[in-house]
Amino acid sequence: MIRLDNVTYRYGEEGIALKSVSLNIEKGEMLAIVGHNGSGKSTLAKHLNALLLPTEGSVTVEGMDTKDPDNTLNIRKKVGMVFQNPDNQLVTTIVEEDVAFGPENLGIPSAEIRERVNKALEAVGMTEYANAAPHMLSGGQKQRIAIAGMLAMKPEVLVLDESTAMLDPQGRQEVLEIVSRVNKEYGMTVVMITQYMEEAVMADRVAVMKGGELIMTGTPKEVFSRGEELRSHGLDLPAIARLRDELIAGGMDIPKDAITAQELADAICR
Amino acid sequence: MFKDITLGQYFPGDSVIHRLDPRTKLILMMAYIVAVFLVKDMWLFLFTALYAVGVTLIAGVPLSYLIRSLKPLKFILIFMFIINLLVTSTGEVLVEWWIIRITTGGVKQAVFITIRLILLVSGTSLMTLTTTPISLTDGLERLMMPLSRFRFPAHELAMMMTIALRFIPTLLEEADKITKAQTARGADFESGGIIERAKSMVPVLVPLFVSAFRRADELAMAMESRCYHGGEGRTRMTVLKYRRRDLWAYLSMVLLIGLTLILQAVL
Repeated sequence: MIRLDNVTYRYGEEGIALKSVSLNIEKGEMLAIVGHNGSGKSTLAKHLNALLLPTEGSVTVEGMDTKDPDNTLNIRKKVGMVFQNPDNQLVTTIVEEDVAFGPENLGIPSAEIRERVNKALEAVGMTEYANAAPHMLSGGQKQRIAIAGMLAMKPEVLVLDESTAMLDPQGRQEVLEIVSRVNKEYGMTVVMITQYMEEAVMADRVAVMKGGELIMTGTPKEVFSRGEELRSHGLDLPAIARLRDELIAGGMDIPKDAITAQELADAICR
Repeated sequence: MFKDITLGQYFPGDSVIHRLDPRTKLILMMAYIVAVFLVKDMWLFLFTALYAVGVTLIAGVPLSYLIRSLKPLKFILIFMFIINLLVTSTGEVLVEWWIIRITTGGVKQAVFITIRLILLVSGTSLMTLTTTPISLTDGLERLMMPLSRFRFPAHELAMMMTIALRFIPTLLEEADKITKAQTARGADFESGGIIERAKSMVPVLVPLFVSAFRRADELAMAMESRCYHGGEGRTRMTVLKYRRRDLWAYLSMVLLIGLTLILQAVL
């Protein structure tokens, strides 16, 4: 679906945000990219829809090179992006008008936009707020509107650039549930950039970044069973995986790759 | 405290007037201004005034709202009244004292100008009272569309207005937050003269501007991600459409202007 080939991104004279990153994003998968602030994960995300162009190497979306300006619009049609600050990505004063903004840009006929907007609002459970003003909504609700705005454009990939970072726990939960549903029910490819390890557990694959480099990729089970290695990079394990390691250290017989509360509970009760 | 701020002076409702096409209301407002200026005899204001009152009643807007919109203009109204009273010197002299000389013609002229001003303001207020800012923007964009052939940036202007409307509450909220944060650090916004108070606003305005630029940057990125590429090839979800009620509205205005012109000519 999306292919990053030795992508290096430099800014200014000295700055280097990405160092020769290669990554393949498969159709239909849910990929989590984790890392600290300044690890280059957001820079990587902005390469996926041609907001940033690689200094060296290449990014191709279904064969389209992001460097070719003629491809830009088509790439952005396929790769939708939701950002961190919910306030700074809503454009108009009425919720449904905002959801319609993307489809309007694509030049879709009015009747179909209306249909898409209704469906998108339903998908994120915000139908009753269709005529509300964005500034009256909570952070989580605003972020759901932003996702609806993307769904209405019917992209094939949804990139969430730390979209839960500014939300309260409840808002974060709401957003994560929708994202997981979009991935499972609509089969949409999801790329989730986050610094919360807990969120990475729900992904199919985790990519860990540090200092602009991709240092680990694998399933959550693989990545989170390498606690020592993660810790040596200054990253933490999800709470459940930490508990698992403590229990193993305490002499309990628990599989080394248990990462959900359910798995852990089953192992303990066995 | 800024959360419930209403923009402009929109009075929510669902009357025929509210549902009129914003283009109709914009054009009628301009026509109304013309109608008011056409009046040369004071008593003919009766019809233009009745028209405004009629629209107010149909729209279900309380008259007090209309009067409130005149409040900020009270000084201008008084000023215009006095100037006209003193400058005009036709007809009989009523009062003469020192350099002041008030004549019947002066009184007449002063009243005439004041009524005219009140009607002009009420007419335009009626439009903003019954139209949401966003549909007003829509209407303006559509009305200016023919001008874009001459490279007039109709879509861009409308987009700017939309974004401004969207971010005014957000920035007000932020200004409130910054004010509180600076107060907590000992900033004093309440004492001192005008100049000192204006100076004390600097620690609020600087962070506000910095943040506004940051927001603009992020918004631009979000808009690009949503395939925004100007007005070209863009469609709209809600398309403005003239209905029968718009025709009636136009007819009522034709009637008002016609009546004014005919009565003016006859008398």
